[in-house]
Amino acid sequence: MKKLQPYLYLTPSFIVVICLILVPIAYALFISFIDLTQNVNKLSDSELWNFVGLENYVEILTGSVFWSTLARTLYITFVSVGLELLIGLSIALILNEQFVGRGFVRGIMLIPWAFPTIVNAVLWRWFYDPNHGMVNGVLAKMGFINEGEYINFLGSAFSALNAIIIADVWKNTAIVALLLLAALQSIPGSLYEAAQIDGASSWKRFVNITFPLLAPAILVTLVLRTMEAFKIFDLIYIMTGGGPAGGTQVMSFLTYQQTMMFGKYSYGAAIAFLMSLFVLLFAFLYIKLLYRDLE
Amino acid sequence: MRKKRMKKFFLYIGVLMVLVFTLLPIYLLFIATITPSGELNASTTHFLPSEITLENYKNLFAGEANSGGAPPFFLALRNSLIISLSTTALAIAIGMFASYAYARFRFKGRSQLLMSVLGLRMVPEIVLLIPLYVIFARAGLIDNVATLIIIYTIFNLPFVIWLLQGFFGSVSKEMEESALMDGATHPMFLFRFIVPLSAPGLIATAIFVFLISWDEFMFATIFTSTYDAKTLTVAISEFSQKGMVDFGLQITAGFLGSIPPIILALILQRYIISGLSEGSVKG
Repeated sequence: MKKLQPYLYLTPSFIVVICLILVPIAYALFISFIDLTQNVNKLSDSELWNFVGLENYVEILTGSVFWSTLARTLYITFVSVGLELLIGLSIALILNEQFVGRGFVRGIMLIPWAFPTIVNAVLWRWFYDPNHGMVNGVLAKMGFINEGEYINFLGSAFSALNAIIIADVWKNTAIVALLLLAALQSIPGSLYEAAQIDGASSWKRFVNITFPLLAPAILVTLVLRTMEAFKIFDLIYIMTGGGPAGGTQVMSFLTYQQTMMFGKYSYGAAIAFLMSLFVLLFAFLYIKLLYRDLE
Repeated sequence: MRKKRMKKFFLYIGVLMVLVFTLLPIYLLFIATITPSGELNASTTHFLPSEITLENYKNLFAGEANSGGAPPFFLALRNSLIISLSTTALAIAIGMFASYAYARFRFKGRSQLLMSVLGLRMVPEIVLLIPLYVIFARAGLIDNVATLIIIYTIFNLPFVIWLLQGFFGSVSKEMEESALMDGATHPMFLFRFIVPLSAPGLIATAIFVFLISWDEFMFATIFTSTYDAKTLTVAISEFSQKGMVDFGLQITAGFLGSIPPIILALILQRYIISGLSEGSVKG
């Protein structure tokens, strides 16, 4: 009886996980092996059993859309996360110093984190607007562009990708900064005092003390943010809808478009599985890193 | 001495830049909500409105279901509140027991199960989107607040279990032994000792779940079709009249919709920051 007790506590969550996560994942795998391309409401049961094997996967992997979408998603992911780490680390280093109102500023950093992504998307789409957007207005006031020759930032693929990255970086840098700040604050001050007595310069102290002790936190933040950024959806949906001409198409949006807009459920399910292979790779890294911390 | 003063000077410049970077977009958002719509469309820089107007707020609050006008803000707000609060309660209620098992018992398969909890947290939501849509659509359960509550609970459960087992595990072992020696049963111990002692962790976890649910858009937009179930994020995305986005209304709804999570984060920041250092991040 005593041996069974922990399992008793686990039962409610087991039921939820098995019925609502594992069964649906298996069902999604099944869907990816059939040819489900119609309105799911009108579909009769027998039609569901039309096995096509790996056909959906072959179609995806031999087409060019998947690969260009993957490349674009990886570009957004790596540039976003890279900038977030760079700016986030700088902010964390500033906030780690002593100054008046430090607690207040740290609280302020929670605002972008709590700010809904969808509102962020609406806000930045407005900033980029070619007719009444702030970005054009400010550039014109500063003399970089002429009044009336406004740029349509979301109108060409490359600038739209970078515009989306900036919106993503603004919202997520704050949380990166807070995580790194928490790690910075756990570095004992005595280490710096000892280094100062030995006459180490502040750059030397950063390279030899701060950075190595911060490295685990940087790695975990990096992997977590990478996984999240790879799944980017809301910003694309609101800001560009995957356009212009598919120029900002990313993995999540491609899956959404194929299934919910074109009704190609099986094709979409196969894309979703291929996409999760990449996320699993990041997840594997993360678990490895955390496991090391646990032991 | 001079060098020290120079350093302080640059530090405050840095702090000022951090503040501007963080707050400027939010400030511009607020200003847009009180700027007359004609002015928003006429110029490109909006740092200060020439006159303050509350027309956006008035029009927003006047929105009704099926009126053909603005989406009904209050219905969407109600749905978002019901869904986020119910998800938070449900995910914590279910997750709490599992976390207790992981934190206080050593049993066969514990570490493997715990790792798979973390693995489940990493599964991209979109993998679940298609099967869940097919299942719920065939069962006629689309456009239902309860459906979204169930889906959000699923997403948050692995995350909740992972976080709470960490918080529960940090309650001292000696306390457990002496409580159990005094005849307390495990459920009594969980509710009388673990829960009160891990209150900060529970609060942090609850805020994370609430914010994730409040923020969610992809499932909300796919699984709803009317204002019986549409959430605030869906409403904000839909502020269009005659094919044109009514930007003033959209931005005002967005601003109001951002207030609850921001206030929550600011009031409970002490818990969030300690919760974040436990190595978890909101998606």
